[in-house]
Amino acid sequence: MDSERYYEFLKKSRFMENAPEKLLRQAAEIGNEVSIHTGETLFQKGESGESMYIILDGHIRVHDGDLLLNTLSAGHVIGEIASLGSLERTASITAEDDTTLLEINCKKLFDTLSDEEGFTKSIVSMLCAREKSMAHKVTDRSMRVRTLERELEIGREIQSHFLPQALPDTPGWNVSAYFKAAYEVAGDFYDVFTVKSISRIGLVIGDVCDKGVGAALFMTLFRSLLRATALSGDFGNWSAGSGTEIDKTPDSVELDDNVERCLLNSIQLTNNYIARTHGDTSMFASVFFALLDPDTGVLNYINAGHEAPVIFSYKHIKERLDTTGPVVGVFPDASYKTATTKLDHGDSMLIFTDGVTEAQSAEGKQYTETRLLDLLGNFNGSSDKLLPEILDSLNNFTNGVSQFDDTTFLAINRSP
Amino acid sequence: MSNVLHVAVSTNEGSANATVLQLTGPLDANTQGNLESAASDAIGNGAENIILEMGNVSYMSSAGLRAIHAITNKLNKSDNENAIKSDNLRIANPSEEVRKIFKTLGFDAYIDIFDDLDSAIDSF
Repeated sequence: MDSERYYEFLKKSRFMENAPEKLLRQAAEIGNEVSIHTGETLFQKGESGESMYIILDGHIRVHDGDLLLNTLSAGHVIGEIASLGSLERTASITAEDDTTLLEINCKKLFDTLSDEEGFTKSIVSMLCAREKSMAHKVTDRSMRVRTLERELEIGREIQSHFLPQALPDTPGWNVSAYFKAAYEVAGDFYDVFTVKSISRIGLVIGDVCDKGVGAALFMTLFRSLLRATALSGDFGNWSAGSGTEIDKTPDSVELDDNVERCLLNSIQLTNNYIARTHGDTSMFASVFFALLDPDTGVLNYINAGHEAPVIFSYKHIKERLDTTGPVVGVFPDASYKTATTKLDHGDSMLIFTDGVTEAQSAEGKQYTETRLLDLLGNFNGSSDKLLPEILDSLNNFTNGVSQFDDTTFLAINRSP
Repeated sequence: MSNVLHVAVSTNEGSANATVLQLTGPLDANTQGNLESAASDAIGNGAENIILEMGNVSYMSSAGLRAIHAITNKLNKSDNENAIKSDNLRIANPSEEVRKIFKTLGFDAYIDIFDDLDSAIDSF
């Protein structure tokens, strides 16, 4: 007989295991078997319902819209909170595959048993047992979240060491930087370092596509490869890494200039390494890499798919440094060109990432490059006021809207 | 601003035998998964050539370009790995703004971009 089978089932379910026999018998007696097919919904969050269910066979998904909360199989009880507490359904239930359940109408159960001695107490203990197991789950989850948060914090701290701890002090030049991650860890980076062997200051800004942990892992790789290859001359093995790789590139020109060689070597080796080793991830970075001669103001650069930096002087935009090759990391053997410009006395250069131009206001509007250029074209303060002024303008625009992307600036100014 | 990217899939039965993914909405870090899974499904169903119709893409970030590169990777698996341009993926009808992003990041040298869908179909 079915009610005997239901009784055995109920007795074995964790929710009912301590219920008195009489309650189990009565529940089995009034139980009604229902079937739902794959994808069919038993009830929706927010509905009212008098019945709880025990899964006899199959699997159901407990979900809140698209968010899957749990998948349950035979022996589990669902819908008890709403049915016992006269509350709304706290989640939706949909069949993962064809599923049969035993429906127990709690109102009916209450009506027939509420006079029985110990009935109320047994319901209370059942719910307390459930409450206890939920409390354990919540504690578990909070501890996991805390562990993850700690891991991210460690990641953030370690990542901050991939940014220069101090900017080189260069007489006649003012170099300043600003960096703010949208999340704990970032895909943006900047770097400033001296390349002794060629007496140049290396200036790098990079923006790894996407955000968060994946971008952050690649940020450390891009930044380190670029700096290590750029400094290979200083490390005394200049010839080891340069000549042969460069000659393989079809567009390469004969280079006798070590400055250009340093730029090309660094970008091409980094590009080829990441494209060939990590090409399947499709992770790339836009990179602007310049070598500045602090004596003459001559600036040699490669712009690999990055927002064009701006050179400006008193109330006047002088030049944009447009791209000279594609982003780094996805196109093996991509060809890059170097370009040259010069910063005169009083000139400034701003290098930035799209976290600046694409910063959003409460209305969903973007800050835009136009707004940034307007500011630079009208800037008449001293160079140390530049970044604070840009940040003020940006903060006024976003007016408290949380930062959507990593934001990085690197500004250099040649004293008048 | 809507944050949802819709992907409508249609198959062009002509000689090109290209699958057209018509995109509507922003293509960024939040929506790139939609495009990638729609393209994976299409490739799983036998698509060899894909055209992304981008007339209604309001905004594209670098994360969107990453998704596009991932599709060329999937399509090129069986082909010549050293080919410079993708043989199997075309971009059709991008807005000026989206086209500028392809250009700035240098993707235009690796993926052919067409002003309209018909010329993209004819290019296969």
